[in-house]
Amino acid sequence: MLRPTFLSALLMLALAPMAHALDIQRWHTPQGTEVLLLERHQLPIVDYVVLFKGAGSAAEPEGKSNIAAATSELLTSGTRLLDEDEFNQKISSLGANISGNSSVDFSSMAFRTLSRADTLHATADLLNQALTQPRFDENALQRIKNQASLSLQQSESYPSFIAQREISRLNYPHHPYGKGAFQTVEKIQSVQRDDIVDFHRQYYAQNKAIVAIVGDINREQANELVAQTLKGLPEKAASSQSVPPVDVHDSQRKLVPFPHSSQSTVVLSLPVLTANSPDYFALILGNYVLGGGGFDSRLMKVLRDQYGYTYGASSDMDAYTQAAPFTIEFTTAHKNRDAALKATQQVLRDFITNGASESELQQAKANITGSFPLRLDSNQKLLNNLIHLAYHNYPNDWLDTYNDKINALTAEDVKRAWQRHIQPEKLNIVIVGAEK
Amino acid sequence: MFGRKTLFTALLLAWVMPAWAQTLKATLPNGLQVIVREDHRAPVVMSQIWYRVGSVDEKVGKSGLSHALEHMMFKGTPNVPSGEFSRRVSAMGGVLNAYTSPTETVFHENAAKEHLPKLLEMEADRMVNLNFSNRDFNNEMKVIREERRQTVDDNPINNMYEQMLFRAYDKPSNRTAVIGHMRDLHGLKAADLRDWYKKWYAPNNATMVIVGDVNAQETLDLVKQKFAHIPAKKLPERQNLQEKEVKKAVSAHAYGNTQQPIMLLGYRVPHLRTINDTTPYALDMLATILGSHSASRFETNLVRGKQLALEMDSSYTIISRQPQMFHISAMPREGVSTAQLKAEIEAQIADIAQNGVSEAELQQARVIQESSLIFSRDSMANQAAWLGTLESNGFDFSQEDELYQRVLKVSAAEIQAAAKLLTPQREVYIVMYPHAMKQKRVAVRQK
Repeated sequence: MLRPTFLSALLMLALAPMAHALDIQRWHTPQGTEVLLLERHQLPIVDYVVLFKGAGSAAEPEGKSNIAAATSELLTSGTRLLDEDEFNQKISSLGANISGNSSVDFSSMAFRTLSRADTLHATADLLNQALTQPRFDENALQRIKNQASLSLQQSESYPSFIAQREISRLNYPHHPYGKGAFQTVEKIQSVQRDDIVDFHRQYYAQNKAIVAIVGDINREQANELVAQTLKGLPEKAASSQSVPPVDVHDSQRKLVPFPHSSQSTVVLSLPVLTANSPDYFALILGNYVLGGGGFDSRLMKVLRDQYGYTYGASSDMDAYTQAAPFTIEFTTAHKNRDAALKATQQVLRDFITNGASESELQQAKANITGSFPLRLDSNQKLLNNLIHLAYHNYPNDWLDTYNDKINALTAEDVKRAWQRHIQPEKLNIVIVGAEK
Repeated sequence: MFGRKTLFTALLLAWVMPAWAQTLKATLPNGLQVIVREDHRAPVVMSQIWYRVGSVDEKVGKSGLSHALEHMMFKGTPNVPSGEFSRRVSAMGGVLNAYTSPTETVFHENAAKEHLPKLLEMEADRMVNLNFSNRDFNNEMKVIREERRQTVDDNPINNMYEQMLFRAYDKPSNRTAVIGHMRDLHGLKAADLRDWYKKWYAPNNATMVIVGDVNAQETLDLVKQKFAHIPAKKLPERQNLQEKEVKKAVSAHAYGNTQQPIMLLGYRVPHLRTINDTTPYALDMLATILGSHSASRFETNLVRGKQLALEMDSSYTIISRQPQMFHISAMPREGVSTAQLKAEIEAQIADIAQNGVSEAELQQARVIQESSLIFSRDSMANQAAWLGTLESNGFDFSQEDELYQRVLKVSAAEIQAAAKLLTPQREVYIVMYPHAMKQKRVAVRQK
């Protein structure tokens, strides 16, 4: 049963015990893999993700870049039995999608396929081959390195990429979260086949795996599917590193010239929120009022509606295992750059000093709680929710109690949390597009 | 062989339209078309209203009108003042936005289902009562100019598409960029927008599409209740978008914010005008076979095999009011010239034109089409967008299955014939070079 909206939920409280938002089934395999399943039988589709904790770019050795990404990409580039073209032919002939992905903290492999038994098992077999018998072909590796190098260079065409990279360098100069921002073509090209083999052997293990499944499949079938896909993977990871806390470097400012752009891109940022922080909900709720709430937000009202400086200004409050960046970003014509930055800083200062008004807070609560059903209306979104739950080790009722936690907050709670975590003058600032 | 295939297709169709996919349609006496599809997977609703007006309806010197008006639709009526539309939808927990294409302006809201009556009421209100101030207009034009700088002037890909459109066609309506040219964005007047609104925003120029956890019949009644009082208008005569027969290849280059040259190759080809056309279905399959999956010809032969490109894609829009192109986009690998990559792309097309495709390759493309269709049902927004596309282009939602059937029935010979259409005379070829290369070229000339 999906949870009714806020108002009807209040009415129902007196009548019935709280319904669960999601009928999540959750268990561990004997090898230590955590599995989360949501059965959804209306469409003949199965979405499957296996995620390996610790197998992200944060684990890459110094001096080399892109190992985590290259590994996950090479896994779908041929197996011992099938060369790269044969592997791709098989996947396409099933009408399935299979892809590898990596982030700072983890790597993952995912497929979406039809739930017919023959298609599902053939897809699962390809995933198993990819995970346990990758070919790691030298030729494919070189191509992937060339693509990553060129892709890095091409990204440098975009001022917003440059701005995000610079702010990440300022925020995380010596922390694993900053590693991706220090990528270079040389570091990408220096990766050798042995690096990939080692990385795969060390981090792709069953006790570090989380599997999330949504779709037309029951628990027994899901259990078999997990066994089929992970069979032959090492049970225990060879290494187990955890991400160290962030040592915050603040109050820095950097201008990056970017000729030929008609706008300046401005980013203000600082590492702030961890996924398990007691202030999580207060910071998320406040961020809606400041810059996360689209047209409702103060940044949008001031920078776009009041001054016409920008097509969009927003703030983003991420949460990772360790402190994730809180970021404000906008672009504006060069001539308005200083004025727009000043206005942004004023909005932030006001917000932190005085907090949100009661009506702003009500609007933010109404939106966040009212939009809850929209988080659960497709298999793809459900899958993302499962991954989020498992990755941060949240309990199953985390979603059930989400709206209550938002509704319980007062303006004073929000103001206190923001004042505790953010001093406006300490945000790092990057401006891309300035001539000098 | 053929018998088996047909059976397989029939099986798939049973999946494509699950029991919950009840779809109803009505046309109100004032001309408003309404389509409602039930999807009971979550207690939410997606509502989209499609106005048949876009950049193809604009005149020279007034480009960007439709898109600018889209922005102004959030700037108030006597009942729902400026900014209130978005504030109220947000307070419902709803997500809202709008977009303008060459042929349509679409407003969409996604929210918990109990908010549908209020959403429809506000949508009906701004169909007739828009009343924005000059102050809001002036500010919003600044915002739109920033939008243009951000999404076109500083964005090499969108910039390249704008260049392509400009060179592909003779008719100004077909060449116009949706967001409008910068000089026009400085020249538009509030009165132009008010006039545009009076001309085109009418129930008989709109299609309302609703997908979600609703009762289809009750929802049709609800839409009637909210929109029936709005009178129809006599719509302006449409501009003729038909292009003269294509006579010669066009090419151009530009300089932009890119590190590596990138290229866009378009072929001016037919699109679907009636369900009985044949070539468009074959072009759709050709796009799948050439470039839209990991075992496609471009991926296998050029990205992986010869390693000439970092990225390649082929795409084709089968239904539109405007002439269409078969697009191929590519970024050559470092050290590979755009000319070399273009020649290799043409060789891939020529191979299909001469030798056709194998039955196995065709079967694979069919499976991909079928699965993609089923996968696309996971998103209510996609479902609504497809229904809206059909209905606002003179097709009927009930033709959806037949359309897919016809794609699946395309033969190898028809694909071969479609590939023969991709000739140099239909070609529009755009290359975007890095700014740095322009400076180099100038430097060479100065020596």
